[in-house]
Amino acid sequence: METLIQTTLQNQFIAAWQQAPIDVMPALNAERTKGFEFFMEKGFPTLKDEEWKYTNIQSALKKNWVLNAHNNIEIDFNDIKQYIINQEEHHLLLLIDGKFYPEYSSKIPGAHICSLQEAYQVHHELFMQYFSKQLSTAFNAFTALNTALANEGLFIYVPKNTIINKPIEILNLNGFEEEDVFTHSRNLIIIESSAELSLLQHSHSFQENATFTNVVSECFVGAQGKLNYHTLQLENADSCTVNTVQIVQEKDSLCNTSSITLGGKMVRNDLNFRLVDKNCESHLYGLYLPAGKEHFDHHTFVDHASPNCYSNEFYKGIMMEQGTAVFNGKIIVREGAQKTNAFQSNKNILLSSEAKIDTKPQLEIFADDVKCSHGATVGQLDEEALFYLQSRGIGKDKAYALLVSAFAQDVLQQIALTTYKTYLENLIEHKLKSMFKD
Amino acid sequence: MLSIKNLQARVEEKEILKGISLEIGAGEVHAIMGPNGSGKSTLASVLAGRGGYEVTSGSVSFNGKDLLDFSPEERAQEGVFLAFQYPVEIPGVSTTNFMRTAINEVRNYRGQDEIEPGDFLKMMKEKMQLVEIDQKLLSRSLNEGFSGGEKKRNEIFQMAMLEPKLGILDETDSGLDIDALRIVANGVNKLKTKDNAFIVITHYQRLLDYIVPDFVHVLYKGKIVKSGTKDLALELEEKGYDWIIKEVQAAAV
Ligand SMILES: Nc1ncnc2c1ncn2[C@@H]1O[C@H](COP(=O)(O)OP(=O)(O)OP(=O)(O)O)[C@@H](O)[C@H]1O
Ligand SMILES: [Mg+2]
Repeated sequence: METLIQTTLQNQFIAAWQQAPIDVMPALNAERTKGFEFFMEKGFPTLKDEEWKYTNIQSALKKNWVLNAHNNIEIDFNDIKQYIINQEEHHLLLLIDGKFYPEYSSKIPGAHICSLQEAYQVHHELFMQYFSKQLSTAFNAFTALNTALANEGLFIYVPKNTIINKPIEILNLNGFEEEDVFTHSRNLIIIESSAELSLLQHSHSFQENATFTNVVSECFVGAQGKLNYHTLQLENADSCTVNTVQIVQEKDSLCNTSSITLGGKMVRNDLNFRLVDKNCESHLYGLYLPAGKEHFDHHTFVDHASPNCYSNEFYKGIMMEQGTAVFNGKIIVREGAQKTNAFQSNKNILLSSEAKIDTKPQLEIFADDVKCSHGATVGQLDEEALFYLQSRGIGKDKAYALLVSAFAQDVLQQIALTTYKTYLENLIEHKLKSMFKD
Repeated sequence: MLSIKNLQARVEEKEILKGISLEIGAGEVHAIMGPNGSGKSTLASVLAGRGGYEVTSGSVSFNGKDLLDFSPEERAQEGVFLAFQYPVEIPGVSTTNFMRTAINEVRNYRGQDEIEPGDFLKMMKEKMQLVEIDQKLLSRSLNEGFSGGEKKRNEIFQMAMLEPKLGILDETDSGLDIDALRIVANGVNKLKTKDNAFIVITHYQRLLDYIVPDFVHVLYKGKIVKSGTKDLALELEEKGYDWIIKEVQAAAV
């Protein structure tokens, strides 16, 4: 049965590959072939694969997934309004099942924004210069497949010295099709030197059906450029996501990321940083709250390939019910990357005996003049603190919720977008409330 | 108001309270003294409902209700307040936010509406003056990095905010300098009415100069072995506990 279903999915990939109109983005054919062959040879990872040891991708694939054909969808804007965080304070870009819908998106002064295919035509040189250049197609089966098959996605280009005046809210709504679809989508974000961009990307399930989203985003931040990239994943309890983000930073650039995972059956995030020139600064914040049978996996990789860079990573997890999570944070300080400052911390609390976290900080240092630290903790909620709150008349459920929100605070307070921060606080409070109700 | 009858309690396998009986009426202040480890904090904990204590016999009635039947939050909502000997630090929660939540939970229990933001601020200000506590302290994380004295002052501030019927002060005086001691004691005195009562646990007569008790009890090995007026505290200050312990031992033979 298991093999049958997977064969079905694999057959769909093969069929899609064979039918792929070679004239869609022909200059990519060589790279795409490489990706497809990698996938056919290696297949999806199993638990024997070190990088996938605690995330059972095979079981997530075990469903009658239908490969998304990306038909055009009729949209009633009234149906999607409720998902928008703030249309006055943010520019809005709408993606439906990974496909960009410009007619429902803002025109953003200073930025060039279009679909992947349009970018291939209109910004061909730029596109070819960056597409799949820093993220190895052969990173894993998902990136390989994505390179081979993704035809839809978002392209953002911010030219030199351009500062985008408002944060861009990227709304990803998934699950518009009748079937449970498996979707590939690909984003390319190019910020040239001294340009600045703030992104706030949030993903939701539009309906109750399940989706499997395999998304790859490549971001390039030029010299003295600045990127803020906030992501929120809040999909239904049947949906799966494998989200790979590759960020490349040039000299004197700054990048702040936050990854908040609040909903989904299986969510895997790979966030990779490459600091290719001097004086880069990178901040990585993360927060995950799996409950029910949710499983959230954060893999991060910070590659200090140049001297005098600073990276700071801080992830926190709150595991409830039978929720499970993985944190795997890897830092490499390459030979010659002297005066590197790299810090990493991962803190977790387990709120039930069935909840689970596998945390693994990894630090590999090949330079001698560096300052690095890493650490991980796993604990329970402080019973003394709980009693203290109760002894002031606060009900046990509320006291629990208060302590858990307090635990999340030091990640949330790093988010400078106040409207978004408040939005997150409400979502978290809501999730906790539903959790602690008798 | 509070009627404790033959209360026995243990932690894990260890008997700590071995039959305590105590009657406290409205408007009264009772001091509880006694050597280290005699069970004073345990008594306070059992009254407040801390987990881990097993009441093996006896009863506690609070305004006619069986206190032991209530959860810790219900006890607080009924009007019991414990000022902790060792207040807990809670990062990420400010005292202000915490107090607003607590007051609203108590009001909700009593069938009242949430407190108006304006009224809350007014109340905060008033009570802050009472214990001379700084606003800055209250907007910080609860007790986090507070000095020993600041923590104790914060306990009394919270008590002032919640206006309990029964306040239990567990060694609120330890760690306070002379001025802070006077401020805290004055705060308690101002909160005193004919309708509420206080249990003051202390090792030192000093505090009782300010908060004058109606009764003084000596707890020893889980029992109240002697009760008296405030003069008993003076006698203890002078002579220590030895003579009482000897009395107890003599009686046991
Ligand atoms: N959780 C526990 N586990 C084991 N023993 C405990 C526990 N809590 C209290 N005890 C013991 O019970 C006895 C009474 O402790 P308690 O804290 O009530 O004393 P106390 O009178 O408040 O002393 P102090 O004056 O030092 O504050 C002590 O011997 C203590 O070690
Ligand atoms: Mg004590």
